[in-house]
Amino acid sequence: MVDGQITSEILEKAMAGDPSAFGVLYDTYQPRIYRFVYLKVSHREEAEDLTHQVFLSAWEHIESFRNEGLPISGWLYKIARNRVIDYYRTKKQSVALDDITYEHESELSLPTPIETFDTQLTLQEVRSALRALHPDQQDVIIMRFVEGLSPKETAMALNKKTGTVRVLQHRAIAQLKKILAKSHHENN
Amino acid sequence: MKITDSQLEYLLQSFRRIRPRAEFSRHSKLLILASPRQTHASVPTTQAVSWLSRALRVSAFAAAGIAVLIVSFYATQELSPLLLPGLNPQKITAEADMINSSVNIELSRIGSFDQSAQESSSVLQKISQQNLNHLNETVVSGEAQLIDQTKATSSPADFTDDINALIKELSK
Repeated sequence: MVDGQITSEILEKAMAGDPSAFGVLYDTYQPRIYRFVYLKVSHREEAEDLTHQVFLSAWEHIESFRNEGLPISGWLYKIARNRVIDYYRTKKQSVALDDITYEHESELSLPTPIETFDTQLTLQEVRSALRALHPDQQDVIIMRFVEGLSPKETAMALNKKTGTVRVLQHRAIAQLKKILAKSHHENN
Repeated sequence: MKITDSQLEYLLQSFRRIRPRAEFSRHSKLLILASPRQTHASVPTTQAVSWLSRALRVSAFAAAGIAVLIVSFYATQELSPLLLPGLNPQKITAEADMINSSVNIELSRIGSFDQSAQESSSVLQKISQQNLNHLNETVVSGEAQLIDQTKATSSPADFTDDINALIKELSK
């Protein structure tokens, strides 16, 4: 139950309702959760609102975390994933890629552009390709490559088997490459 | 030229530079930590609601079962042929005792009748075995002669005086 950055002592205090201890958890994992949610919904205000809901729910139910059998990060990702699912269920509207506001455009500019097919590949294209994936594939790619979770942690957060996560990852990588190659060909 | 796995991984890891606004993070944290939270000793709201709903379901089920028992009890009281007022076991026993006693009385009367009948039968038998003088012709003719002799010796007037004296005596 102990992550690399959170000690068991802090975790126990947070579970006991210590606000300062939970504040440490918040500072540690809030950027990750926000990033995960933003890459899923691609809208800053919605991502902020959902991130706030995730940590509010975690604060209210942290005593039940012990029964989950997950690391604290996996537990938070699980809450975030469910919130995003509920968000899309209630919204019931598709967001056109053209309508996506890239609030983090400046942050997404690559320090070292990647030269592929003699053309720079931007992170906006990669994110567009990411949004074209199946939701389960998106989750695996974000957790494994963006947030650096292990296959086991990713499996626990997604309530799937580790083998399933590896298969999803393999297919997601192949699909991303295919989409990026197609996008590059169309742009050219 | 295709994008390699390492290149793709590099691109994906670049997303780590996405961060929330500092103002949002500060404000959100304050709001969350200031919100009321169930203590470790108390029951969370969702658990309390689930327990309450479960308790209500159990109570409703128990109440329904009790209602069924009550209805079946009164139904058996009203409808069961074994429990009709006329067939009250205590009453039945009392009536049976009365019947027994009346039967015993009757039996005793029958017994006495039977005894009387036997006695009468024996008497009649005795009588039948004896000579009945009043039916014996010799006796009847002898008594007739006696009556005739009495008529001859006494006058009608004497006979009338005798009758009047007997009547006066009887009227006293």
